[in-house]
Amino acid sequence: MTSTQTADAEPPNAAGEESDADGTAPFACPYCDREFARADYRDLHLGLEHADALSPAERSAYETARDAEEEALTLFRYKAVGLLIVIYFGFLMLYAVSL
Amino acid sequence: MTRPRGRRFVARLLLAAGVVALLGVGRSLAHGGSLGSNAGRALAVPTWLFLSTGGAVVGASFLLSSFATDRTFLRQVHGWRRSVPVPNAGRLATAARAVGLAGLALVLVAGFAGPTEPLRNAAVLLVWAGWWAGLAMSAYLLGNAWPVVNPFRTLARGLPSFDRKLPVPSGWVATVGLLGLIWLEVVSPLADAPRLLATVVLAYAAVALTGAVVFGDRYFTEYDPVSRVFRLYGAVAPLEYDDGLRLRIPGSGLETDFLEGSGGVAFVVALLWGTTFDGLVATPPWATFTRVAVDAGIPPLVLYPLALAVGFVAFLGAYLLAVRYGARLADTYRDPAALSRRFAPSLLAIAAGYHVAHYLGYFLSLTPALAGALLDPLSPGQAYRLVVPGWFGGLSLAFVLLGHLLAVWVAHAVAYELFPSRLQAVRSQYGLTLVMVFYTMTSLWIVSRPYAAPPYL
Repeated sequence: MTSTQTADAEPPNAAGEESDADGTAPFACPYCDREFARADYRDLHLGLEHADALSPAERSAYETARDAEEEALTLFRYKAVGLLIVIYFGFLMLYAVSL
Repeated sequence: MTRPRGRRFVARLLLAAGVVALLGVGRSLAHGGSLGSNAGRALAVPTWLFLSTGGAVVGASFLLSSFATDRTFLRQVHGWRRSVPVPNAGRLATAARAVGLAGLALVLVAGFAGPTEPLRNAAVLLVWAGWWAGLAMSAYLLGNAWPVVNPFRTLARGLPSFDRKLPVPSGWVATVGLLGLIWLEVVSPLADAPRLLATVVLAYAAVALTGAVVFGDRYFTEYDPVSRVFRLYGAVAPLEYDDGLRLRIPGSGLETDFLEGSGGVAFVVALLWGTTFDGLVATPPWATFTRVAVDAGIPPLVLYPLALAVGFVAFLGAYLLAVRYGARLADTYRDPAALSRRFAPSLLAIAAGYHVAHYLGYFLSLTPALAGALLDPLSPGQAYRLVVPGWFGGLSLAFVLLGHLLAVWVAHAVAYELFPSRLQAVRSQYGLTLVMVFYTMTSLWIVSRPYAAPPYL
């Protein structure tokens, strides 16, 4: 199976929160053959792909993971807006200076 | 008649104006609107700024697309299909086949017996303006008609077939074929010499019919590079044929998993690199580089295919690296090969944008000449060219950028389908977005160079 090869071939990630590619057992989906590097990825996968088959525990895990994802997305949106503003005004300045 | 070199009809000034207009920088627009001799000078955007603006537009569009986080919405947009009823589909197909056969006959007759001036020759005009510009544009703007029109396929219907299979993957065979065709197109005066063009068409017909006899219809659906180019362009289009005609949102065909293995990915990259190479060889820096390389002892006959091969490997390597980098950032157990297969179709939107930027003005300007030559193939009258207005250059820049924007959007949707976490999906595209930014800048740089005839050809 290629997924284990992938895990072996790639060095662990620098960010501590994502360092699951370093040989620890992946989080497998009980309903299909997919494996995930993080428990919340698996929980999200369960809610998205196997919503009808979930046990109450799996459902609440999915809801927790979804809420955390939503929170992280909000933070990401703020960063993206900030970056867009920097790009826009950065170029405005660049054009003002060089034209 | 030479094929269009983007930079010829794309005035640098207008390119800059296009970028500025896209970003809505009011100050520069005010200058652009002023008349008189200093209007041009006011818009002399330095190359580095012009290129980085193009790159930034793509980068910013990636950030903007990341705001579309509603999975249901994305699925609705990309899954939207409407069936289009086609009355008399059988008769239409027969008519299209007849048109294809008539076109082939015309190319051969006019190629061998028509006038030698390319602008008055129906073979040259039909192949380059009608087929490679017009029909190819219709393949991604409307839908792919080539499987029906293809005269070689129509001829092959009457032939027996051994129905064999090659032991190597068909995608790689088609990739090698495509690179060969690009090489032939770049180094030979195919667009200026009708007799040579007709000979090449005959040779191609011999290869295609032999292929059809040996492999059956599989030759056209898998091995033939030309059919594959049209099929891939057709994946961008709003119309698809799958047991009936269906309407979809342009680009949404690129989100399905339709490439077969590494060969399919290689072909997509070769298509993109081919368009780039075609433009690159007509720039002054390439001319300088070629002279230096030939002085250093590399024969020109080797230099062109070598550069074509090296560039292809570099493009493929950059793409695969970008996907791997994205997979690492996304922290996924998905197979990198599968990821590269899923993201590669998004590059087709870029290829289509680049193609329309190159060929729309070319096609329009040659339409009168094409019509004249078609009316009287053997002794056409005076060839007329439509004069394309100057702002068309800015339009072609917009097409290059539009292609990239569509590609960013497609990659976004594919990532959402692949990964359970939406942040994971965003991270998986970092590498690819970087490559797209780099590629935008490269193609804008090529498009904005003045034309220089490729030396030693």
